[in-house]
Amino acid sequence: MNKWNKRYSLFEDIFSGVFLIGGLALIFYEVIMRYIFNSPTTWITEISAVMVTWGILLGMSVALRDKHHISVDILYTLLPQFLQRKIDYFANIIGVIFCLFFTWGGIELIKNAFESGQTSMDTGIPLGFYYFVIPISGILFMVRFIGNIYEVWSSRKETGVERKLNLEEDQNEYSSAF
Amino acid sequence: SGEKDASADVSSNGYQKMEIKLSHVAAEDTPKGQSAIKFKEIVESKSDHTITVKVYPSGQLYGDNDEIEALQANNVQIIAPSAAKIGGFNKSFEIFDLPFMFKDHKALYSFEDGEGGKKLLSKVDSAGMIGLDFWPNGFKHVTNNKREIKAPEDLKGLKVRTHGGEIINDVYKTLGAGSAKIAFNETYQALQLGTVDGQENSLINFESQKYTEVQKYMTLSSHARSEYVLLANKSWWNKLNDKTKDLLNEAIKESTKTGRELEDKYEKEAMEKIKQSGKVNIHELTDDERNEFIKKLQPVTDKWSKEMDSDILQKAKESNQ
Amino acid sequence: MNIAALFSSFTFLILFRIPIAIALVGASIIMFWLTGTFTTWTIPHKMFTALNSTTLVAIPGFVLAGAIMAKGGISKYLIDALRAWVGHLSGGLSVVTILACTFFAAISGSSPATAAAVGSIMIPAMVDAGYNKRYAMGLVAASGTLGILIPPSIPLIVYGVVTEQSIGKLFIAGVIPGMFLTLMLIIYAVIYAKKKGYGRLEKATWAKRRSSLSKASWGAFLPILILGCIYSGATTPSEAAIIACVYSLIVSLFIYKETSLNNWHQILKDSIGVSSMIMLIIAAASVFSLYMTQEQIPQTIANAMLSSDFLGKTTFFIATAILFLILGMFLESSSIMLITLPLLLPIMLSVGINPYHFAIVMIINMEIAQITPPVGLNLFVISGIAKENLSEVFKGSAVFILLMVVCLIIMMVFPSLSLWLPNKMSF
Ligand code: NA
Ligand code: NA
Repeated sequence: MNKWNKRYSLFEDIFSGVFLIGGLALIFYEVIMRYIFNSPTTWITEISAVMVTWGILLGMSVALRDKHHISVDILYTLLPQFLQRKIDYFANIIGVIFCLFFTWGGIELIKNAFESGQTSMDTGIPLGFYYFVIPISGILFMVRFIGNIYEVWSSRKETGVERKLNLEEDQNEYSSAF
Repeated sequence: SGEKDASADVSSNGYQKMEIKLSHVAAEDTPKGQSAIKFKEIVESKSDHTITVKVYPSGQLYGDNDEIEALQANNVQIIAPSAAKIGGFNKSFEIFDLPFMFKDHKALYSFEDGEGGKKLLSKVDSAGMIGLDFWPNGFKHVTNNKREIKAPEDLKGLKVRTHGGEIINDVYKTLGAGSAKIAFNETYQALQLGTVDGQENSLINFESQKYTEVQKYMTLSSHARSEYVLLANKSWWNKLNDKTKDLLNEAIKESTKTGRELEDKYEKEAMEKIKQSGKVNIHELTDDERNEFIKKLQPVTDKWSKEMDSDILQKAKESNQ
Repeated sequence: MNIAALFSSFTFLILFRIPIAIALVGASIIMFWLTGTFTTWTIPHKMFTALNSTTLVAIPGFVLAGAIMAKGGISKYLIDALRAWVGHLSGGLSVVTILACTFFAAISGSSPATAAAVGSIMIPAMVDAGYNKRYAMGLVAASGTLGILIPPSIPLIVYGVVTEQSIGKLFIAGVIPGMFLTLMLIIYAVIYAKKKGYGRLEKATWAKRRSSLSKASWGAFLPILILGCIYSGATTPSEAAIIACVYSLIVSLFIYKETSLNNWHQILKDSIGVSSMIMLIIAAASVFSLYMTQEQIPQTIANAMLSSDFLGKTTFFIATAILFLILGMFLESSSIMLITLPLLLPIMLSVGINPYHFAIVMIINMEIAQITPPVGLNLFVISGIAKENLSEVFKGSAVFILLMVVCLIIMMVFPSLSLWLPNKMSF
């Protein structure tokens, strides 16, 4: 299980990383072409921005996995443990609903884009292709919310102390930003 | 859920009770902004406020990149994007970007009001939209910081900020210049610091975006046309009763007229302000100079003409005579 | 009615620990459903287009550059050098932080980019030297807002276009107020550090200082490189973020050579996570803003506040400051300006306020908006790069909101601070 979890995480990192880094690299290329070779293009500008957008959206699940998304703890910390667990379930279920909405909306959008046949101004690429990232990232994001629900469920027998330790461990793992 | 508003009940005066949302990206004090307000005034007063029109200017509600989808989803009922943008549905809309396609306002308006314009507007039908009319913005001129531009060679090596589009890119490539896409809100500084050397725009946009402060040479080239297409959601429009449709059509006609009058007025005012600043060297292309450009850019015209409706092109050419 | 329903559904969602971004979209969807005529599949599209922007790439760019600097050695040696040179001075490091923000403000037109660039180096530096982390985060969040006051500034460009004022003059008008706010922050930081006893490291020897500086010189050159890139016209301010990435990559790989493959994996996933978090909130805020604009909520609030007949200069300033404070909690500065300025401009002129003066006052309001919750981009940036709760970051920056309100009042009362320089200009 753990091995697969690691592989899946690596897949998430590489998938979003390729787009994010690739997009930034293209911007660098465009700067070089414009400033040194005096030959700017508009298509690189378009493609690079789309690639960065892909990287960012695919990264939503990476951010959830590594606990980057920001939420407000004011009420949570005041509540007893059994209510905290209820909130954990609730928040993650809302997350899943959001992902379903996001994915469904993305599919509708893609259908609409191909039906009406709109292409981009600078490359002529059908815009529908650019939107594929929406359902894909929605599903990846949802996988992580479901994973969170599973974690809450599997920790149902933990005592308060164990839970606290686990939470701290979670945080330590990712507080090594510097 | 966007279905229910259009089939709404009919008032005793025969107009359908409804609210129309009109979203556009220009400021209120531009020809387009004033056309939108004129449209609102006519529709609301003649329908005795049975119909209300909410105008959202300046891209407050939707911007260049999301207004079309919002229209297709009927979240807004009317928008006025640039024709170049609609080129993404049908290349013929980029006719306004073909170099030196329209000689002057007279030619342009006679094309837009005639068979050619009508046929062009019908080209968005398959995309869930109805083409209603063209709203004016202005002929585009090229400006830069390096040198006075009188001949095609003068553009060689210049980096020009454009709003993009395959034809525009080709035009600058053929002239030996590069067309760069810089975000609108970074363009001022990019011109100031020389990240790009020049840009192309209508006089009204040039002045309102304060490029007078950061550009030295302006060539009144009128090489292309910045034009908007007034679009409505198709299924919404088709559910309107005849009386309502007639009113909207009348209001559109009037507001287009207003836009054309104001384009003329605002352009003169903009020109006056640009001259007053004393910072911009202005050169107007002579007929000979203009012909040099036309000759040089003929391959671009030929290449992209093939992708457009030949009938529409023919009508456009005839309008110049 | 709509306003109350929107804000209460948003509050409900965030209290139940739903990520802020999802709560923003969720509250908007609920309201759109109640409105009845809105087709909601366009919401993911709105989010996509909000992110698909050539200026926003500065955020992932500076976050990535910061992560490379942190793991690749640049930050470490810079921190060593800073400690050796100013670590013994009371508040020395916090003054360096403020000046670094001022410096970055002069290259970037956006506040989150400024906070990301400086925060990733200076927060750990201050924490290392014994500063309270909460204070360090608040300081960077607040100083980072200088990005939009000191030219270049994206919001000032928007202001210039909407109100038809000279953008060049607006930029110049921001210079003195920017330096004034910098000075205020420095004075506060020094007094605070004296009181808390920050910055009493042992004084380093000159030999140590020289060696640390030579080791850090590669990192110290970076700001000069970026400034050079922008003012020579090589790059736009947002593209400069990518130059920062490439430069730190080269220095880390070929000069410091301290990174392992594992480090690079960590850099990658940290950058993805932090930038996705920030950008998702930006995308979600654009949906929230769409609902507010469609229902003309900002106009409703503005009209309610500005309808009184006895409106004078003072009441106008106070009313708009309150308006911007409320809107600034939820909306991003460019949207606030686009929506309210056409409404405010005629009133401003009729009560006799100079538009350049108002521009500066409004920008300081927008700076405050960047550090007020629940939607404050600088708070999110700092929370992301410092790995701390939003509430901790906010507790650290609350005092700076007060400080900036004081600055705001001074700018309102003394128009010459904003107007003296632009009046000297020829155009
Ligand atoms: Na700045
Ligand atoms: Na805020």
